[in-house]
Amino acid sequence: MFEKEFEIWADSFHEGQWCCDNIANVLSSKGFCISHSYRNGFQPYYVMSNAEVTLKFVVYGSYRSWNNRPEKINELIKFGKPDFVAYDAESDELIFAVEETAATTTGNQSLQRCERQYGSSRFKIPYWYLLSEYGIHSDGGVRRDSIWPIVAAIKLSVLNTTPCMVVHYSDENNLEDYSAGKGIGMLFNSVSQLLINYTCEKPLYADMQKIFREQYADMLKFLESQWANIVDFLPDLDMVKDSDTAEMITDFVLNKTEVNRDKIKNFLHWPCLSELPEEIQIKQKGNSLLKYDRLMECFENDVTAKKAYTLSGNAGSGQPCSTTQIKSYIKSQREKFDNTNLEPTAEFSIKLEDFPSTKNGNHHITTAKNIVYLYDRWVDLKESIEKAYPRLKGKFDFPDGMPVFVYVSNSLTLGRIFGDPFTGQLAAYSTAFGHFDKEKRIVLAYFPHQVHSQVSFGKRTNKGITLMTELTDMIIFHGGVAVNLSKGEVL
Amino acid sequence: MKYTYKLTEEIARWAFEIKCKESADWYISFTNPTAGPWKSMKGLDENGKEGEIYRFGADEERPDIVLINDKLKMVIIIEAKDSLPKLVSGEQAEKSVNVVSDISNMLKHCSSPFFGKERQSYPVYLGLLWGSETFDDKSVVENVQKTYYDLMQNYDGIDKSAIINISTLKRGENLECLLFVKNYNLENAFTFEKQMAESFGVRTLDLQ
Repeated sequence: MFEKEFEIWADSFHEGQWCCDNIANVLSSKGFCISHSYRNGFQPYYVMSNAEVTLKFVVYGSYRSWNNRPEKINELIKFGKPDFVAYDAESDELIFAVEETAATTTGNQSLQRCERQYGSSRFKIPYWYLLSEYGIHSDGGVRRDSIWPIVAAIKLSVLNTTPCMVVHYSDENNLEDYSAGKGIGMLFNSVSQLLINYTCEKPLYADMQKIFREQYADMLKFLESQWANIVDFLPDLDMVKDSDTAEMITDFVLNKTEVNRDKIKNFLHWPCLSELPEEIQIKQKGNSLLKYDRLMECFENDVTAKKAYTLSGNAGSGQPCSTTQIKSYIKSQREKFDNTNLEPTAEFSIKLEDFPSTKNGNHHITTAKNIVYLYDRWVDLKESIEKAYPRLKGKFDFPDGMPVFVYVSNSLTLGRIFGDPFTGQLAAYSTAFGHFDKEKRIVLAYFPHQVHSQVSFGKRTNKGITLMTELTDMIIFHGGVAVNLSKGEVL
Repeated sequence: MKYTYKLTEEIARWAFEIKCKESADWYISFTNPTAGPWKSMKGLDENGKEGEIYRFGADEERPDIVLINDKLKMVIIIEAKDSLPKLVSGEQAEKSVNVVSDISNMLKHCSSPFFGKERQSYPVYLGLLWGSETFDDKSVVENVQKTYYDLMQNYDGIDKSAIINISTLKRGENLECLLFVKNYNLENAFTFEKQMAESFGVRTLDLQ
């Protein structure tokens, strides 16, 4: 007889109880007896048993309510709080982590939680991200989920040889409906089996090859059917379409099979410009800016000059802001801007007049519509940076020939770049565009409207700072002040 | 207990939600944890089938709990905080009464089959819920009641004859929810409070 008590740490008691109820549904269908009570008048407590195994669960809802959380939980939630996590206190092990969302998966919504995906994977914790495939946008139209959580999940699975999964609920006829689609079943069948394996002291993924293969196959099918709506080009499309790829990934992740190692390790690598299909190369042309910025103009010119490429000719612009919002933002940033110890000095120059008016009297804050640029060579990007910000001349020491991924946020909310949705977006994009690839890309973030003095080294941290320290090589803030978070340098 | 906890709003509210779940008479139409499948208000149609009756906008103010009782024929919309003083801190009381009034008015015109015509006429009471580590001081509780009662006079849709109060009391590591009805104009206040306490399966709060 095997027996184990698991702690379910959760963002809220609802999430924790929901997790246990769904595991109970799966196990009762397999003949387990289920009992349920509350400890201390509020903590959900479950016992699920059959003749061979007893699983007990106690829910610790609301991470921040608990004073002396296990250190492993503390380390994990520095990278964002998953909705629920299973923990074995006896062996001090995290068994799985899950993020789920009812949010309509439009715009940045599904990327918003990708820092949790990254965090769990880096600690080699099996992870599931449950989200709606189909949702209703505020304009009334039907939207389908983004490809980026799946691209990042596949790459993280391979990188850390730990399952990192995306499962979808809902379908075309039942939008945002948790009970439609395969997601809920896949998620809770998987975690239930994982817990049984763990309790019975079997290999963690015993008898789960088929389950994971099916999930990777669904992820690839989604990618195949959705990529063209989001990007102009998807690498390794043949492999995405190949029905053997899911098996290859599953073998590599679960069994560390070496047979297809190189093929899998290089899967979904965004190549250099010259390796793109000719029609995509021809399409690469820079666009004029909505709101002027010297460096953004250089990025767009570099696209025209075929030094860099963008993902889609179809990018949209962000929400305009009101005059009051911009004035108040400029005031707050000016107060924060600190150019002491900067050599050469940097200048704070954000002005209301820089933000062009819209028809209804608001102001565009979007510079270029693109927020991702993939450069073939650092030397070309460096030239543009030094042209836009001469104060940065000679301050960088990356190898000239290294490819670069540039991420841009035009955000005009104080400190927002260290919160949602940018942290998750950066986590997904850094993973997707090569921070960990065999042919690694430098990751450079550019925040034209945010001042560097919002970063206080060592004093206060949050998930954004934690993530950016790990996932960026350099950040350029307003006025051309560059910050290397991992080295604690301000250039 | 391996881990100690702070009596946060989440824990104070959750302890009371358990009482609602365990009651045969109360239906939780809405609760306000961060996200998940709980983001919309739900109701039951005449066959007992659950469905959405209202979805909050992304930036819309939300109450903490909305409860429906078809046996007592009433709705309670609750504002929850981790402590009594926080219920009246800054603009909180005004904001809360405003939300209760908005939701109440929406319900009175709600045409969803999952809410139903009969429920449109249910009185909607304002509820207050707070966490407490000691027995609450009568004068502090009464001040909070008065603040809310005075504000309620400026809003329609809310039944002004009573305010329903729940104190989630931490004793050692255990939690107990206690109920107290502040009567303003009830026909039979004693019976009303007794019925309410019984329906939730909780004891009444004796203010010291």
